[in-house]
Amino acid sequence: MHEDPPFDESELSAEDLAILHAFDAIESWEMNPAQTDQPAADSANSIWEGTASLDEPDDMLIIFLTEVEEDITAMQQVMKRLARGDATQPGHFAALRRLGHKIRGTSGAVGYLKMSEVASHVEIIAEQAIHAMIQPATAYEALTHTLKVLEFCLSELLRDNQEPADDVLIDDLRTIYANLSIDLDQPLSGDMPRTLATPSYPGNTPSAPGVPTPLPTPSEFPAEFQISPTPSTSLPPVQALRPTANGTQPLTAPLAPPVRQEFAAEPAFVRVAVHHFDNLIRHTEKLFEQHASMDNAYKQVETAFQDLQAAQARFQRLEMLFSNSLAQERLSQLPESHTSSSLITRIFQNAATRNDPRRRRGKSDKTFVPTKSQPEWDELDMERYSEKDMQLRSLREAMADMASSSARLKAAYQTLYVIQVEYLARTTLVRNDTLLMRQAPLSTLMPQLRDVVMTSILAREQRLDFEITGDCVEIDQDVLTLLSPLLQTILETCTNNVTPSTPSTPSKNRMQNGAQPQPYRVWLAARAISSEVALEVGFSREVPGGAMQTLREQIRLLNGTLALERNAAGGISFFLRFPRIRGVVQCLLVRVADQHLLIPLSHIRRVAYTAPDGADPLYQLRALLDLPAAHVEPGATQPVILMQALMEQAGGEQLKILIDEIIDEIELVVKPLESHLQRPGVTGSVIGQQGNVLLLLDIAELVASYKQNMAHQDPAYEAQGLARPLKILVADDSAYLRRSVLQTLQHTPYQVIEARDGLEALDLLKVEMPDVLLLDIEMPYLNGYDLLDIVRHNPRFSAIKIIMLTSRSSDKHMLRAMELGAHAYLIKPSPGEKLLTTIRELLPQYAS
Amino acid sequence: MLGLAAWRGTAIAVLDLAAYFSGSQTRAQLRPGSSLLIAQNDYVTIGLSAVIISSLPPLQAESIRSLEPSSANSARLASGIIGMYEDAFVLDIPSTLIAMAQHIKMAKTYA
Repeated sequence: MHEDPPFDESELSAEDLAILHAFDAIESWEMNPAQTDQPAADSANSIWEGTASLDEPDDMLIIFLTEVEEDITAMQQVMKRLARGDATQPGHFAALRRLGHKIRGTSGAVGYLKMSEVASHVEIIAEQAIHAMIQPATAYEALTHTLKVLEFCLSELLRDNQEPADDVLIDDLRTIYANLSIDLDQPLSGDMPRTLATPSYPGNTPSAPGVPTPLPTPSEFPAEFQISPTPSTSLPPVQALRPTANGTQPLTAPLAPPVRQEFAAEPAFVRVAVHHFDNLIRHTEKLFEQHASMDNAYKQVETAFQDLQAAQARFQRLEMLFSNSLAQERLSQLPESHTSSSLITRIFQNAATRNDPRRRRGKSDKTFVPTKSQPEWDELDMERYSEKDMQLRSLREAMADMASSSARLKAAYQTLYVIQVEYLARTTLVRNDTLLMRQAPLSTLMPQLRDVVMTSILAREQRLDFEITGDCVEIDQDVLTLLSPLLQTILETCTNNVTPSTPSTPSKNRMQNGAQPQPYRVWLAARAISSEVALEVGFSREVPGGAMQTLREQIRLLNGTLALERNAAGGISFFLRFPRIRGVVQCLLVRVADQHLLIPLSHIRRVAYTAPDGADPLYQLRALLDLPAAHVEPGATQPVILMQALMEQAGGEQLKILIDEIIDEIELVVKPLESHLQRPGVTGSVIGQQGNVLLLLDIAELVASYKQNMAHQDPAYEAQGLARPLKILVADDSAYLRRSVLQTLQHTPYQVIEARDGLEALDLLKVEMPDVLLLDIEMPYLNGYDLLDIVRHNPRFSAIKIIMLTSRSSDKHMLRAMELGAHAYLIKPSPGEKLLTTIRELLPQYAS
Repeated sequence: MLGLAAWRGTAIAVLDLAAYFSGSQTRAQLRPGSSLLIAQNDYVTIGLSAVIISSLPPLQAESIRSLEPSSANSARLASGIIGMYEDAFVLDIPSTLIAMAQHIKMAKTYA
């Protein structure tokens, strides 16, 4: 029987209450084994109910204890590194936090709540150290004691199969924390449970209210676990100075990453390469020289135009005279006519002329239609010419003048046009030169990147080679400014947040058959592809995760793409692709229905006019964009765009996109869309020449979103998978929890695959293509968010249903996971039936 | 949502004001004789398509009378109204813009 906990539950947060209730549930299972006396299927449904209900309790306990022992060993390694003094404590504390989190969750699930609470102390203290809420030395001091208690709990479990009977260890730890001014309840930016209110559990009956438990003196502890509370003012050797490139630096330096002020604002100056500057001057001078030709051509056009205007004016005057003359003549002949318009008069005149029988005889007709047979004008024989002939003569001269002026104008205009085209070409050259002036080689970033790598934990622990190729690639300095923190994030994360190797996760290449360890290789390889840069940042070994979402945000600022793959060395490579000039993208302007859209040229492999062979499906851009279907003439050929997506490196499908028409290839300045206008697969907008809005598409993302929507809307979409057994991939770094899930699912038709970390899960995803991914958040190498982000950005994995299975219970984590594309979120400990129900709900076509 | 338009070099969403407030689910179409009003707050710029009947000098607060509960026949309209001037609703544009941005965010397509 148990008593109510001696605390007021109303004082606890919802999160703590949820955890507490979960623990209560565990307790009730253990205290009432009869209640778990269910059929086998029901037994399997209780995956977190402790060793008592498991089919192989001894095996499970051994798995648990082995795992905790490994984790504590790993913690000790990290503590040793901290004791040596290190410039990168955040990485060490992050490792401690993760290990503490793991032990807290696992031991809580098994029912060892004292150990779970002590592990939560590790997690909280490490978190506070990471956020610079406590000094690293203070954190180290506290963690040293906490780790000893954790070891003691483990030794008790190994020896007696039960935790220490009383709370003195934990109470003493709290005294130490108080002496060190550590407040475990201090709010953090994270959401982990603060000090867990001690629940009642077997063997841990709290003292009756009002009866204080006597605190043992330190000497009552076993000698090896004695704890000597030390005030923070007399801290031991942790105060040692840490070595840096410049000598030493006190350990008390703030842990928060330094703000890179140089990138905080627009730079006041840019550095310009001399050859770019020379080119600009040369092209500008040529452009200037062209001004004279342009002015001359303009003047010629102007002169020709004035001549034409003069000829036109003369012609109009003559036309008026001629018309008046004819009108008077006609008026005398046709008194009944009252027309006043010269035009009408002329019409009458023409009509009369046409009806005049003399017209056919020729002379009058020739007045209006001069022919070559007409006699030459003779200035010496003027008497034979009438006034009408004189007027006609003048009219012809005026017409000739007009024709001549018109020809001159046309010629002048053509000259001007040619010069204008040339001028525009030179202007483009100057513009390009101006853009190039902002470019600088990638090598300008290398000193600081090399510094990041060579001062990292890895570099100080072992031989590390940093190789760079293609650093002569020139990139806009704005892009470099954005690229620099991105590359530093990758390098810092992967070379500092070192997860200690444990016996269960041997690191490749580390030491084989007693040979010398292979040097750790980090490489950076860049190459320019048209207006873009392809960049690989490679690590010869597995690297810790946690930065994927930050990187995704940073790469978005660059209008680029990011992929992560295992490389030939067995490690990890980050593949980045981004424009060399910020905002300017070379695009293919295409038409689909009545919409004009842009596709980055660098994403396109080629264009075909017949659908290429191959198993990969052909997508209609019209359908991807949910545009109405249009009638296509039979036999009409529509262009097919073969995409050159990064997914190809992952062995993904070759995307083929059917469009209505290719209009042009253009270079445009792309602007990001406001947040409320952002849609999957639309990466930016451009204002077209007609003032219309053109959308820039990311076809791979568009296809992924489309497939995801289709899978949601139509269960039959995945019906082709009905014949094979459902595969479920469990990605969790806790062997105990993986085993528990296995036991839950052992009586189901599901085939279960296990992954020990995010990277292994990514590898298995490609090979096994599971239907469901059960994903923990806290994992080494790639954490759950990283993996979720990668999976949701790869169209190949769009059909996979992702269930987060984590002890992170806050809304913040849940929202983040759902935003990244998780389908469901379960909090450990989670009843097995709930897990099964969730799987069935996500895969309704398999429910039967 | 009517679509996207260019405004000062950037793309903005264009909403049919009447369709938005009436909660119409049908695909909006540009009304003949409508004008584009550009509404902006610190966070969002949205084009509002509406038929302009007349323009008024700046209204005094006392000339705006409070809204009768039955006047607004849609919840969306009721939440975006300051009051009535003669027989016209006076809209609270800043707060309406935030709701509009959310509405646009939820829309599957741009039109």
